[in-house]
Amino acid sequence: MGGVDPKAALGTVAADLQAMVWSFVPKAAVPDPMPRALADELAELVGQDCVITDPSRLLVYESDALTAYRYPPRAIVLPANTEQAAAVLSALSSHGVAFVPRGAGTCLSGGALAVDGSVLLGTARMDRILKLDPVGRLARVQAGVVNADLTAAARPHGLHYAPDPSSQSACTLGGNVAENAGGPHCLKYGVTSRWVTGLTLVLPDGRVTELGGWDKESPGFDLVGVVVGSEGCFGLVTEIEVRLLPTPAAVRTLLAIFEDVERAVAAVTDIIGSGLLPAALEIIDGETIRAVEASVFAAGYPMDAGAALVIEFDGTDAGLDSEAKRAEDCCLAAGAREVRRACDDAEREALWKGRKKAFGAMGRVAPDLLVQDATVPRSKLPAVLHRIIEIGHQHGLRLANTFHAGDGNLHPNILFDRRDPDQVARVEQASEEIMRVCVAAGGTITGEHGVGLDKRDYMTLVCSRVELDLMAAVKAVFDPRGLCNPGKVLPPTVEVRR
Amino acid sequence: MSVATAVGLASALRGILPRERVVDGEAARRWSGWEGPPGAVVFPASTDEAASVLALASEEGWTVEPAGSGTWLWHGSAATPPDLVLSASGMVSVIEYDPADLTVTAEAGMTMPALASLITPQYQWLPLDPPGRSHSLGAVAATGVWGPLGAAWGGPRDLVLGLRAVTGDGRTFRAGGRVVKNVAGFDLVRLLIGSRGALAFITEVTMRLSPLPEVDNTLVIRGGSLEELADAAVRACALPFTPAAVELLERQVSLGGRREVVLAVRVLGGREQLEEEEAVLRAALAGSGEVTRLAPAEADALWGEVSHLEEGAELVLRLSIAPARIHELIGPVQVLCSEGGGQDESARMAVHSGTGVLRLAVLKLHVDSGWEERWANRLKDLMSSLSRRDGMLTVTRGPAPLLARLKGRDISSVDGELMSGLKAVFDPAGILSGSHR
Repeated sequence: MGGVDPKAALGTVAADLQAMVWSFVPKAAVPDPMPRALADELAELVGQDCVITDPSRLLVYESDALTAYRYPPRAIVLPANTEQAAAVLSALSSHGVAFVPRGAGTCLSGGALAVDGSVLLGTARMDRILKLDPVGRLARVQAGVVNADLTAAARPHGLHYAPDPSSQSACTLGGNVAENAGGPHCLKYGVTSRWVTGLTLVLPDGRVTELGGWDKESPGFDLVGVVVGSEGCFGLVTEIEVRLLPTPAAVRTLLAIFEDVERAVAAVTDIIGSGLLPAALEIIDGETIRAVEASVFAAGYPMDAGAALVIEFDGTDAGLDSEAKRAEDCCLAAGAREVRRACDDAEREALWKGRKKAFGAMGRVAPDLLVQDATVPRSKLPAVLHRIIEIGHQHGLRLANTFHAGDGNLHPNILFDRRDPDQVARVEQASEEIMRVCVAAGGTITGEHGVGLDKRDYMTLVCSRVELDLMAAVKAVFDPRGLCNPGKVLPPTVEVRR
Repeated sequence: MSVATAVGLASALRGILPRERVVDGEAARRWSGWEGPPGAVVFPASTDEAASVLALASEEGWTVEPAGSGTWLWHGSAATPPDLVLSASGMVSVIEYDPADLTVTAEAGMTMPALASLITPQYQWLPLDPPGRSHSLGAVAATGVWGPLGAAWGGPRDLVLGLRAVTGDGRTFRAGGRVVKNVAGFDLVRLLIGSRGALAFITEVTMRLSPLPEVDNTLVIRGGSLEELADAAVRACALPFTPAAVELLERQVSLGGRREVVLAVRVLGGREQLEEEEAVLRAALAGSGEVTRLAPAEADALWGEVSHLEEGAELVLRLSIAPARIHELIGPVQVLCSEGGGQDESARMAVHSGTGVLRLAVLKLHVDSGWEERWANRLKDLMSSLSRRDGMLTVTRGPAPLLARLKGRDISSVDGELMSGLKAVFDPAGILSGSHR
């Protein structure tokens, strides 16, 4: 690929999101301070500097990227490796103190919040790439390694790590494992679970187990498979082994401009229906385009456009031009006003810019933003989008849509002002209605951001009582005392017990 | 089980299901990978029927072996038959197929060929080629087994999006969904994939499909030694693109005798792309033997041969290692095959270089006095040689007296505790798959 790395440029989104502080939920009570004896015991294990209990220093950790919720932790402990993490969890467990694993804090569902005075277990010091085997195309990393740093380390060997969440310049592999993170290029390459081959897991009682290995068909249950996506509820993952992929030899990027979102979606359906498998298919709507163009991130998209579709193909050079041509034909047949094609890395970066800076640009339009993450079967996209736009109108709310169209993963962004309680109530209502519409269309409430604290009450939309009870019982196998990331994923009405 | 109990079991089942869905006696014998027939074979027509059977079995403490078409019942065969085999082969309907979604949901008893005939006319396919014929979708999910295409497409754990299933005690549940990205709740789909029926009876499966590739070419390299071709296979897996399959195939040979080896590389995609990829492959493989492209019928025959490798074999071994080290499996297997053995012992071998898996099918074992001891010792030596290389050996099929002499995989105490905890969650009475052993 050479030159500008398309994925690295996605990175500032997390920071952008952090900047858009919004909060309509009352701040949780400040927890009781950590008992002195426990703080001393932990300091003994990881060093005095790595146990933070000073309330003013803990303020940074009271939210994740979903800043609606604020829960100051009782303390944050920063182990440097598996051994320290095991000793810390063993100590917390013997005191019956709950803990929450935390990577870079870019979670969009409140998954890394220390509810009820839990202690945060930060992975920031576990930032070493332990092994990079270019021949075996494998890497073993500590959980705190930043996603983009792994790809940067692999690039000189002609390799990369496939999942590329928008926050990849900030988010950690440990967080990616917890959330089973996706990203624009997951359309072709699949999400995190596809690429993780092994994990070191510290159980909530401090015992350490090595899960997985290369052979995913090995006897016994797929414990790696069930830990990936468990949102940090089964223990603390300290090391991760992943497969790396060859960097595609060539890339073609197109930007198609449409009068409205419906036509852009029709083009996506035609592209997939014609048997093409692009690496990415991303749509941003007119509202988003105008926000981007009015911001410092202006990417040169037409201000009057109704939607833009970014299409990318990668792989062996031969044949990519004809694939791009076929996709272009699909766009024109669906009514595209124009289709631009990047001729070099700089042009390619420009085409991506509007998509990548979409979240950041929203900050200009409204003080607050709620990002939804529902996923629907691709064939239902047009109808569901239509309903989502209607829901926005019915509630008098401004909606901006950016989404992974190829995967059917929608990100309707609801723009509002938290200082207006009436607006806040309408946002919550619209948000629930959007999830209901997506579930009714055969979809689900979250495609890649996780349930966390934010969507746990909506789990009953997609899961029966039996299913929720099974999930609770599975958690209890890993965490019988309920000390690990309490209050997340499952609705409070489901009792977690063994 | 005594005859009286078996009769009671079948009649109790006929009390809750239509008579024709319960088979016992001689008619049940075909459904046996064991030394005797199961007490009964039950064919539920719906998830609800399966749930009522499991609720009753759980209450009565009857052991149950979940099955699809029955082709995988020999997996880890044991001397004692279960009380009943619960087969999904009566559940074969398509539940939802909208080609535009590139997903399909079907009942678990639908076979792979039946699925292919549904989706091929829409120019779609399921890129999964597990060993064997006519497997049901439920069995593919339950075993989690993959074949050569796993190199590029992953296995069932990457292609199954959702499941409907019944727990050991008859609770019906869904896991995952119909969408390609879904993180709502803990991943019960992956927990069930590869659990070999020990957690639940799968009744519906949603799979992710792919567009049929424009061109499907297979290059073969012949003439080199096994070692040369194994090196060539490693080179084929180190290119800037991932071939759909890289397979080293050793046709049927007498153990210790002459070997005929072929390396097959399958590439899928658009015409122009494949022209370039073939040129790169030919350059990378030059010097390892004569490279030819197979005609479509020949390619089908070759991949069919790989799929059917285990057919009729008395002993099947599955060895695995990190793919880049696949050649390290070859030596120990050659030692195993060349070490004595009777003149009538013969084997076939397939090496999925892209996934690091080697399958050895010993067609006929020479049974004389002490044969179990001889093979058990050979296999134990192979296991320890592999574990020194971070590899693994699984005996996927073998005669019960031999299996009895081999210890199971060493599962660490923590993993073992987690797994038995999970088993208790889904199958509290402990009646499902393997519980009769």
